[in-house]
Amino acid sequence: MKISQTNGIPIYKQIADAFRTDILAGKYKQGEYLPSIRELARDLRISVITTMKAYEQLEAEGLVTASQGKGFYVNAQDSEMLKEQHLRKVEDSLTSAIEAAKIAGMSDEELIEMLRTLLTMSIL
Amino acid sequence: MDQNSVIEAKNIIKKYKNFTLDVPEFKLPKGFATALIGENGAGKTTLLNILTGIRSDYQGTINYFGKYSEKELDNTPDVKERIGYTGTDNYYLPSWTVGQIADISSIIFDKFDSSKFKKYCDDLAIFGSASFDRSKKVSALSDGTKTKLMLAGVLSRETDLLIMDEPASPLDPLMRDKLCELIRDYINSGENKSVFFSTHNISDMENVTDYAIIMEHGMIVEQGFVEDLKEKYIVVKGERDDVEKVRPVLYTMSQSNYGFEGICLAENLDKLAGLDIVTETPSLFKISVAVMKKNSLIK
Amino acid sequence: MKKSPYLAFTSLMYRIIQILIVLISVVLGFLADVYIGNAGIVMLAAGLPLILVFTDYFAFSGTSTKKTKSMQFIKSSCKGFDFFRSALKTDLLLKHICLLFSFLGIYLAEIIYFNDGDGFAASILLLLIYLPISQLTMNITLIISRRIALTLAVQISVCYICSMISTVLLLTYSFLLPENLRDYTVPSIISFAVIEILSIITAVILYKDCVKGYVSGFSDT
Repeated sequence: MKISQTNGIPIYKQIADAFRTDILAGKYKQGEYLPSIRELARDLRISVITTMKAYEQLEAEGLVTASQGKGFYVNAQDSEMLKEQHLRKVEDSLTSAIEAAKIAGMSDEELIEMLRTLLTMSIL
Repeated sequence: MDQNSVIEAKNIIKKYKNFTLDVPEFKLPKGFATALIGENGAGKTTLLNILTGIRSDYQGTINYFGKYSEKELDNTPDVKERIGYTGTDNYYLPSWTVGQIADISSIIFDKFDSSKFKKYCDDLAIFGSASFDRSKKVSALSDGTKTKLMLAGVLSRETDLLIMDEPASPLDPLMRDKLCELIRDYINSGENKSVFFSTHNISDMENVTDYAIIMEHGMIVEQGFVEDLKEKYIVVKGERDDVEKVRPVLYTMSQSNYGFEGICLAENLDKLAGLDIVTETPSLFKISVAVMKKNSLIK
Repeated sequence: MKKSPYLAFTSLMYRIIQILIVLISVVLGFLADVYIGNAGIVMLAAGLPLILVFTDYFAFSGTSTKKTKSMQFIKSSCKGFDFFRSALKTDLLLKHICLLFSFLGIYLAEIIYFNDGDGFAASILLLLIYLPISQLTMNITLIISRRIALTLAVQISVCYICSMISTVLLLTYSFLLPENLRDYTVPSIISFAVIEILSIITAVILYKDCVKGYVSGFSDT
């Protein structure tokens, strides 16, 4: 896990993002416990409250559940939710692509054409 | 008594000739590292001394570990045994040698481990490249080394709470980093281990601070978990033309020829809507300076 | 194996100096008595508490000075005060034994040198009177210096004035003693032993609030 102190993104968000990616990618199995808050804080050399906030964020997103005195375990990721998460990601990426295209002065047709080209390339 | 506090104090008052420490309510969160921040003379050491029972001439009540009152400090060995305290000057008598410190520690503390002490002394390079030297005098040590020796002393005991007065100030950057590591290891070494330290070196200690308490002229002016404080306050930067518009809204601000930078309470941020401003999450350092500036007597 | 508080608190150097004081004072006192008479003894009597305060500065870091009040390490332990009291008691007792032996030494030497039996009895009485007075002197010094004195120099000057006063008291008392000294030996020994014990207790109690509380001082906020 790479944490940057200076890139402007709050540290807890960086941690939550890293775990979210890992959980959605299936690196953590259902029911598996995340590292304990204090252990993670020590390993990442950051404060306890920051890791705690990252875990709370994951909990709010429904990815993990807090268990009294034992830490946070990974919830069953139903396919609908997984799909939802991925859809959101696609949407985000496309939005930023559109923004970039506007700055570059590309027309809608040019943008769609570029997407088509990229799609055929990724099939290969 | 709150289950989540390790120390709870009420109505602490200590009067001096031209200074009064007045803390109506104080709670130290359990299982976290808490920083006590404030100007020189804000009353930090007085508060720490009162909490550790070193000073007993004050009014108010204190509850320790959810079961002991301040009156039991001196007749229930358990309380002080569970608190490790490091001070500033005159902690160890200057005439003592390192060997005497080890002997005295094992007499006055039940759970002092001499071999651990030796190990910490070596790990922290208290004798430089030389090996453990019992005859080394405290008065011959530098301030930084004295602090290391105090740390070695408290860490060689089995405690549940560390209270440290300005541990970072006399230390060099490398050793400050080591101090943060020691604090993290301590918090991670068991359930409900808590640390409370006063500091002027907020930036150096930021990555080990969970809860912050900011004091000014004898009163607690702001406190909270660092992540909550970072949501309560927001750094705002903008153009010079807007200075007069933002001045009444901002908590604190400083201006230059190029623009302004200030701290705004998050709840007031919408009052700045429409202005050309940039916002960012403040560091604990920026929050502390803003709060201190707001409450300081320094003009 | 845990050391006794006294041994842990004091350095070997301090303990050696304590014994050296006895030897040196015996020799000095004897010489003074031979060459300048009783005035020499008076001077020595006035000087001894000074030396003791001075050694206190090395072992206990000046128990009676303001500095001691911030003995944070000892105060951070529940057993700290008991430890400190135990070390102090031993130290005070040893100081007294030192004083006792130094005076005893002087007078024994005088008996051998002058072969003076009556002088011996009178001397023992004087000695017994001197001990509590010297203790009282030291206590007064401690009280005063704890309130006002900050440095070793000030403390020593205060102590010097006190020991002068106590020596004058001692001399006045010795002139008031009746002719047949021997009849008063036993009650004197008992009453002065009582004063002696009381003065040690007073000293320990005084040290107690010296170590436990703070008097004042804004500087350590």
